[in-house]
Amino acid sequence: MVLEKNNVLRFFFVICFLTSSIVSANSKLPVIKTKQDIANIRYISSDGKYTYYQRRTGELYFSTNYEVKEVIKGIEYSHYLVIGSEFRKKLIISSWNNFQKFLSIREPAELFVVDYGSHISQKIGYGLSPKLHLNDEWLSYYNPKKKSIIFQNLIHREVTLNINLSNTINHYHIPEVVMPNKTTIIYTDIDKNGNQLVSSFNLPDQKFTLLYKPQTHLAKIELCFSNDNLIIAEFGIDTLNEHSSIKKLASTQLDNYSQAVNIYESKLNDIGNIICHVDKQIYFSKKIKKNTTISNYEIASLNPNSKELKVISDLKYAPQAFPMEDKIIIPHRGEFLLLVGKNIEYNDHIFGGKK
Amino acid sequence: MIHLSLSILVNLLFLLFSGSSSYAATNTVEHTPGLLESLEKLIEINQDIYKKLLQKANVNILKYDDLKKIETKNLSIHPDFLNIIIFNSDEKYLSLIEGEQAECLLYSLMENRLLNVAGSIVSQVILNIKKNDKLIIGVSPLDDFLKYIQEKQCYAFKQISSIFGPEQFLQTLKQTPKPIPSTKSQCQKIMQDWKKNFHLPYFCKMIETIKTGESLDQRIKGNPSTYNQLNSQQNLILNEASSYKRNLSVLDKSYFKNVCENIDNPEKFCSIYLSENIWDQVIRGEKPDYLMKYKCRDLLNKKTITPKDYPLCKEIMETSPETCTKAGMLQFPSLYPKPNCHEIARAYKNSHLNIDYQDCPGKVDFESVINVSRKLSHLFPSTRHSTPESCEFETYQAFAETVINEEDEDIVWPLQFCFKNLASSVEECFEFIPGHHPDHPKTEEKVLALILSKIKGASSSEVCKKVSTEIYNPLLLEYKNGCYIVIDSKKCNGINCQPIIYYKGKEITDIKYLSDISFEYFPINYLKEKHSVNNILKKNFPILINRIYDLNILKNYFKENPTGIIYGIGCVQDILPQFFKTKALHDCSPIPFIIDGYDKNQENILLSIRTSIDDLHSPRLIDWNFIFNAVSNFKELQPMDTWTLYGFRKK
Repeated sequence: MVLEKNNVLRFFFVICFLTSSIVSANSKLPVIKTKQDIANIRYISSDGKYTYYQRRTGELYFSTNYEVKEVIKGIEYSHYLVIGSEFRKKLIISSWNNFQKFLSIREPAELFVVDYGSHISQKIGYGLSPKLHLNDEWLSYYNPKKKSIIFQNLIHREVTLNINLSNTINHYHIPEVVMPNKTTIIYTDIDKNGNQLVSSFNLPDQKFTLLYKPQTHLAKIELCFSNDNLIIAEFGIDTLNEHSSIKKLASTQLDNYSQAVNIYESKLNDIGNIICHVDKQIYFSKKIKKNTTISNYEIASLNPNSKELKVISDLKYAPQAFPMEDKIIIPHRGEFLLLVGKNIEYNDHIFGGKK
Repeated sequence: MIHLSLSILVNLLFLLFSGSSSYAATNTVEHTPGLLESLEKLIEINQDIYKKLLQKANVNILKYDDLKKIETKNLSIHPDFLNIIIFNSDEKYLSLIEGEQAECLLYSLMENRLLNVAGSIVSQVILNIKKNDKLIIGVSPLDDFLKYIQEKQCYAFKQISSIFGPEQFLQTLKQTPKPIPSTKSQCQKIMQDWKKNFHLPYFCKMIETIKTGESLDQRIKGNPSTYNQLNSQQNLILNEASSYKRNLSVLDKSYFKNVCENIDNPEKFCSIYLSENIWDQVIRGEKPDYLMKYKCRDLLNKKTITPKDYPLCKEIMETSPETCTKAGMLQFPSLYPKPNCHEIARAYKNSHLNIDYQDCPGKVDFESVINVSRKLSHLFPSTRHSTPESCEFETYQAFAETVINEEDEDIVWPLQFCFKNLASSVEECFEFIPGHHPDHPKTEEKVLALILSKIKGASSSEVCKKVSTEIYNPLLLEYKNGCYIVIDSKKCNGINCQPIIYYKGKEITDIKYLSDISFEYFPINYLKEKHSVNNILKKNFPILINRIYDLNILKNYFKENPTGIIYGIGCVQDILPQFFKTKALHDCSPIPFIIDGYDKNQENILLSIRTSIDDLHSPRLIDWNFIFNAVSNFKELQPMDTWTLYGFRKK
């Protein structure tokens, strides 16, 4: 019966791909190899030793060396995300108990922290877009209801900080946050006219400084930190004034945007979604215009020093990619394709596939 | 008489580009440069020539009193200076220099800051003065030169200049007819007339000043210390820009922007007014007027719109398409920025969702309910006079009433206020619908008042008023009586909002607020299929639902069901990747959406889509591949592996 169901599903997919426009049929990107169904996996270490996975009954589990431990109990149909950083000291878990039943983009997740490679979780709070900073000693997350960014020190739990955004116009804005050092926070906000802006907050002085504001409200700003440089990317989000640019600002010049160096420019609206990767490259989704009516989106890598740009995906439609340790992964039509990094070579040849 | 003719200008320009004049002599290039390199060099050479020319002319500075002593026949613009102006100025403005008054028009363009020299606006004029059969070079500040030339030669322009002064420009603007063409020949005539109109440089100055002012403003906002570094001319521009922005109406701005930007391109000017577009079809009554009514209300910031307002709205939407991206955001919050007016017009060409009302996704924050409300409003269209106060209630109403009236006891509306009935000692719960409505008995305000009448003996006419924590002040007399539902708007939104209830100044703690809303959109479990939104709708409404697996089925669906729509759920990160970023494995925020058409003229199919967080009156054009990706990725997380894309129409 199971076999029959799988065959039906396979047939369905064959039909789907034959009748719809096939965009990734010729892709050379490999699918991520996992021991179990990737639909359940939420995080896997680069060497494959640690896996965090969930069950539809609601639990999040941690498995290592054929040993499985429960991380969070949850309730039926809970949904989890697990996010780490290049430092591999902590992992942040986002949990939505009502994921299937209450569809709301702004619904905050319950946030937990675990030590990397451990199953003991501690609740942190409620929010979206959690991010680890500074050797995983700090965590930031965004509370969309209060429109504030919360900073939580993970070594000294009593140390927290709230930054309230001035944004009143855009209910769905999720700020970009970077902590280049222990005294500085750089984040994106939206002013009363609806323009995105980059602000800097100095912890010892408790002072806010406006670092940069684009000339139009039809642009988004993304931030990341790479190799002692703040990366500020601006991507147009409307067809009236297509533009994209990526600049780098040395960590010693963080109060002076005029010192930012242009490392990439385009007259098209790239999608962006930049990643400052552990390999010191910057990755983002780039728009590639084929003719007046057709445009493709591929993931490109940018070397911030040489400014060399390479288009490295071959999917025609690759608007998103995300890092997981040394890997960069593209979610594509229900599959996860490996763009950067190596697949894990399992000895037992039991690789996950479709459900 | 100052000698000048356009043919000389053209010749000089030719020499400049051909590189066979003195420029080439001073710059021998040994390799063959690319086009860009040649242009860069040319700019460099040009700047160098201007610098040297100015240096030479600066030994003889001619103020107004000096100029007065010279006869105009002995004065001419230095030909190299003219070349530099031609090289650096916008061609469209240069094209105005023609006819008998060509020379005066040149000066008028200088007066209105429409001509440039190397890297800046013309602020001084380099002249040749004929003295004893010899030519002497000199330079005059622009103001002095204009005063002289308007007294001696361009008398008419002196008068024109005066009616565009700071005190008079507004009256001149009001008195100037701004004809809007309705035929091609009429349009060409309008453009020809404008080109001959000596007032045009003054109107174009207003548009250019506003543009420059905005860019200076942005620079200052980006780096406030820039303000102290502005020169006197930049300060002047900032002041004038602010005055023009304040005093020019939206129509004035868009009309003259269109004229000035297209002086040398009348076809483009005409295409804006004469092209057959959706707005014309609405004005002629060929398309429903709700396509324009709500946009127009936002753009003109008026509560009531009549068809008389439509031509003005059309004008604004065509000439200032960016206005649609922001208008109405505060009253009816949705995903920001919205698409521009041109994209909306394109999407409307092939869209047919009934939308004679306005909802407010940012106030509801429950995307399934927004989608259901839009689907039911499409099937059973009615006009609603939505306001920022009523839009939340209206969105919930249809689905809430359907669930409240359900005969199946397992399906209950989860938003309720509960209290202990003192007489029977039994807990009673009353359902309510979030939001405000003046007379619906199920509003939060009315239901609470009813409960208060039962447990506190409140009057039956009592109405509980909803106020925010910032407004509620128990010390004020007005809050000492009556019933108040106090919500902390900073902490909550939509239904996830535990209110504090005050009656006669005291907090009421014996009323429980239940808000555990749990309606899966598609079934997640075979045993509880009937609980899903999809099945509740199927049971209660005469609808037909068909699964849409691929693009061909989608196209056929619209072909066979011209009034049908397609709805589904997909990951927002795939549908709107420019707004939402994927950060981890299975990072997917499911969002319902409605497709109500597609652009048939595109090679890659663009669908007319509204996600549940998009403004109802701002459809987006999104590539089919993005939607396919979004539904495929969500399918992996759907507990029953459901493909969540369906056609939806009346039985």
